[in-house]
Amino acid sequence: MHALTATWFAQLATIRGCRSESVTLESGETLAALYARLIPEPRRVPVRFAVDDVWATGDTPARPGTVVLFLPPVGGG
Amino acid sequence: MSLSLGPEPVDPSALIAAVASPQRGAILLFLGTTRDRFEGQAVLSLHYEAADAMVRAEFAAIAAECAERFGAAVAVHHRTGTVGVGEASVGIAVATAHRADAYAASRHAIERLKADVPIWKEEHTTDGASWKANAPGRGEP
Repeated sequence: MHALTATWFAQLATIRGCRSESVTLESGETLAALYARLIPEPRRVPVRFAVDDVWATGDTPARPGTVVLFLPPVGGG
Repeated sequence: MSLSLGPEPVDPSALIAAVASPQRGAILLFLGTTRDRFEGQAVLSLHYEAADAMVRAEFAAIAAECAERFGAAVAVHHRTGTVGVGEASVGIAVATAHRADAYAASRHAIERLKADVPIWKEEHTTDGASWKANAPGRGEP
């Protein structure tokens, strides 16, 4: 099965209408490409990525079975 | 070391107690509280959500940095859920041998938290709710 779990936070959860979902991958897709596919312009915001709770870069290949976090600009404090 | 995240109010005494020791002669407590206005609009409350596991890992990394650079013990509590105006959303206690390092460690901890820790804030005003990101570049490198 070529799917991973996408986890959304803040405004991205509102845009996707859920906090977590299973997403079928396209061949050779990176995290950045996956994000661009799932959040079309003009609603896209800058994000950082994490895979299984570890920071990752956008050029990381999206791997089946992982949990990918899409982290919009933070506002804590 | 006490690093926590959750809906419980910030307890300053608990944070201070977590870092105090006879070897540390300086303790600083930072509280980040919610303001009643944002760009002229009345703020009713704030709602915080977090990527829990990553927040805990980032808190641990920040505490480790403060220990290595400043010899500081650090305790942090950040709230999640709804925080009313005037309440503390975050509390950070640091303790060091001498005061200069305590000021530096406290500043480092809050600036790192605001720049990097995956916590989000939704501001509820009389006009509705919107997610607010921290302004970049206000803190130290």
